[in-house]
Amino acid sequence: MKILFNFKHPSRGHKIDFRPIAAMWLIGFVLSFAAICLISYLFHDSIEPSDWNEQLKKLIPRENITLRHRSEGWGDSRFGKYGICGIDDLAKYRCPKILIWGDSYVQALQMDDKYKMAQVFTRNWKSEDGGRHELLAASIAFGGTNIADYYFMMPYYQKTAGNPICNFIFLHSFADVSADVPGISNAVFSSKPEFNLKFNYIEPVMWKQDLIQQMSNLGMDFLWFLYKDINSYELNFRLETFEQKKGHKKVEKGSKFFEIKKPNAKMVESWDFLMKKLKEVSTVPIVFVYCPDLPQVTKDETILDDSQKDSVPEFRKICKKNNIDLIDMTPDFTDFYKSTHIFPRGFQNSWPYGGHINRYGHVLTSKAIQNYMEEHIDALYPD
Amino acid sequence: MLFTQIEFFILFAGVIIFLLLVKNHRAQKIFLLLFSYYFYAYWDWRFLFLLLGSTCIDYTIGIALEKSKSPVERKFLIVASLITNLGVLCLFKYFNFFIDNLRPILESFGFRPTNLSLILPIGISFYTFQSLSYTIDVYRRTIKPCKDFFDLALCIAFFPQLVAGPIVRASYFMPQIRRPREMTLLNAYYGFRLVVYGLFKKVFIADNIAMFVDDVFGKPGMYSCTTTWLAVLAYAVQIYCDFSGYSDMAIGMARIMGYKFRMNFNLPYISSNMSEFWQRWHISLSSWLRDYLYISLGGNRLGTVRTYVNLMLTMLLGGLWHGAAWTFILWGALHGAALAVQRIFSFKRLFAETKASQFASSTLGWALTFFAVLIGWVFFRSQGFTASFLTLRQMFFPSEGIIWYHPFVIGVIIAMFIFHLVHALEHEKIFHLGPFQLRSPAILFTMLWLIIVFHPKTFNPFIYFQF
Repeated sequence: MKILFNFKHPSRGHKIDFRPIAAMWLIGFVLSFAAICLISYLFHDSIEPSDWNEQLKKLIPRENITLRHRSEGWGDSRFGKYGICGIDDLAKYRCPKILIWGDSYVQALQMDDKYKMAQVFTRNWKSEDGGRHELLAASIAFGGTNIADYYFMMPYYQKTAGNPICNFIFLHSFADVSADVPGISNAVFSSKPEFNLKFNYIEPVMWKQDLIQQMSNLGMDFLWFLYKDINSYELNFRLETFEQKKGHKKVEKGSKFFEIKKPNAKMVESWDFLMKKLKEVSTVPIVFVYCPDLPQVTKDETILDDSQKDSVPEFRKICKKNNIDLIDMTPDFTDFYKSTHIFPRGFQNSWPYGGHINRYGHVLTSKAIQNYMEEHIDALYPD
Repeated sequence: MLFTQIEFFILFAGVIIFLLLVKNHRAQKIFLLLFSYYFYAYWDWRFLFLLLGSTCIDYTIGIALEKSKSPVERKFLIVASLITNLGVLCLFKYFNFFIDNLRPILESFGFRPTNLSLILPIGISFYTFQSLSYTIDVYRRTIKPCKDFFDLALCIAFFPQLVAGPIVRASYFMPQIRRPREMTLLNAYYGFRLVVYGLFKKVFIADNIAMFVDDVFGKPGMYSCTTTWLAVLAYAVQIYCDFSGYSDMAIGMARIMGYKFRMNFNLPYISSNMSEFWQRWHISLSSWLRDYLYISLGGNRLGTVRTYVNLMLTMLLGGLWHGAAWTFILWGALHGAALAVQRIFSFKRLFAETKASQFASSTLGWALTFFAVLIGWVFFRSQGFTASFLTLRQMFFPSEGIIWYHPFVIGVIIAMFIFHLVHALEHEKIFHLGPFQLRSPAILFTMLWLIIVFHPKTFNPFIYFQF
């Protein structure tokens, strides 16, 4: 130790021995790495190692992984078997089930499992039903999926659940039920040459998943995000004009970047097609749960006006035509905000009024599902 | 090109390697000049010609000023430099502002003025002032004109300080350019340390609170009283960290290359009066305004009233320098008024000469100064007077609004308060990271990791780029 740190200050005219300085910097780097591992464990999102599901032909979150989400909200989500949050093994439970299908809004990594709509429903149903009709709610939700994905996933999860009695499909954007929307999921819903659904098989790279698992075990999740950032960064050394530089803005994919305000005839036709396809694979009644993007906050006021409201009546007609019920959450969200001035979307560490639905939004949605089930329990519940 | 871009770090590493390998001083200077031009042209290559043109004109005028013996001719030359430099600045920055404000008058005379659709060349406010400091110093015979065009060009276009300062005067920088520099390990360490500080302030702090500040200021009156106050405090932190962070990086990079720049920010938020604030905030600009504007107007040599007029005028123009909008002018006016009030009235006289009283007067002075600065920032940041007054109304006469207590923002404000308090109490040694201290690399690397891991996903340009 004495030799290691026995360096002399250059201003006193001595020659510098670089070995201790190099050692000091090396130790400093190691200490800093340990510090960032700890800090990122507490404050950074963790990574999601996945497993290949041969029947679904897709990657689903690995069993017994706890995912930490910190960038929006603050949640720990534990994945059970089959990639489902908050339920260790769906097949283990013998009671009738309702399946709530959705994307990141239902997967809700922004909060702990106990606050998610499925878990809230199960808890409240148990306490209010008095045990007459035992029921378990399970969220079949993966970020980035759209309704077309559920066509391919439904047979598998219905079989796994064993005895579902209703499929609730959470919908927040009508782009999710429309054809030709650029997406990031496996299902491709196209209108050419005629409406069709295709499964986009993506070859898994399993060594990557194992590497992700190892990094997660060692608390180095942040390195994976760093790798993704560096991988997606496009170096540009070209001299251009200001306008040319602005033109390089990336086009984001996914339905949330594709807004539908007023549906046209072709869009409505695509909804009809998709609903028919869903009915082909669903063994139980389907109910759409529409969650509007409100309230919205502008420069001057809070608007209780859904930007997609013009699509709702048309969508309701198509649902009715296909014998599918629709729960429109617009009055619930509106009344909730009016009475409490609390936003059902948003989180303090991201946006207080926008983004994914928060705890309040999940409570409202689970309540709406619960009301539906109370109304239809006799028709749906098995004898 | 931005200091926070990966491309810049790759190229800067290349610059350092070149400077280490190529020992010829002239070759190094020409390389630095070419790289500086590339750095500037990266944003928009068309505006490189403006920079070149300004340099050529001032080089010529500098030489002519030395040759000329006639006072009239010398005056003509310096006026020519002022008109050229300020003319270009006014055209790009203020033309539309003046047209919009004078439109009713012009139309009454039968004119139909149209706005020009011009992009504001990046850094024009900075390099214009830098260039003017050269010609004015030559005119005042403070310095000799530069005979070597490349030296002057490098002095004006040197990439660390080109687009957002500090405004480094030729009288200070030129001697360093002329003599061969020394790239030492100690300079490299101090420079690296400053760059890390700057990056940390800009990327980790300023960029991560920008989203919060932008939304609250973008929707004035929609947020609750406490949220609005939080946003104003956050903006004070953001603009300080953004701007001083850039300055730190600029000074740090120059230090690595062997050039020494003076500090541009010296913890302005611990100031106990407005004069002290302007001795600590954007020091290169405030000293430029003092030496080339305030003193040229007469300073405090022409009586009390004229002193206040000169002070006010300097601050008004200082506000206008920041942007073509009445809110910037009002910001300047507020600071000018605060400086004037400070001259007239010093409440230190109200306090006894005891230690406790001195502490009380300093604390009161600090509180009032900080409060005045915060109010000024409301105008500085807001998009117009209506937005400013809506924000102020929500601060002092609040109505119901959205509550947003962003945890990171609150954490940063508390941390900054503690940091400044420690400095105010003169215990800053605990933050010192010397080159031979064991903790220095650990802390510096940790700051780098925090920058890399917690960088925001959305792009945030440096605030002072818009000036």
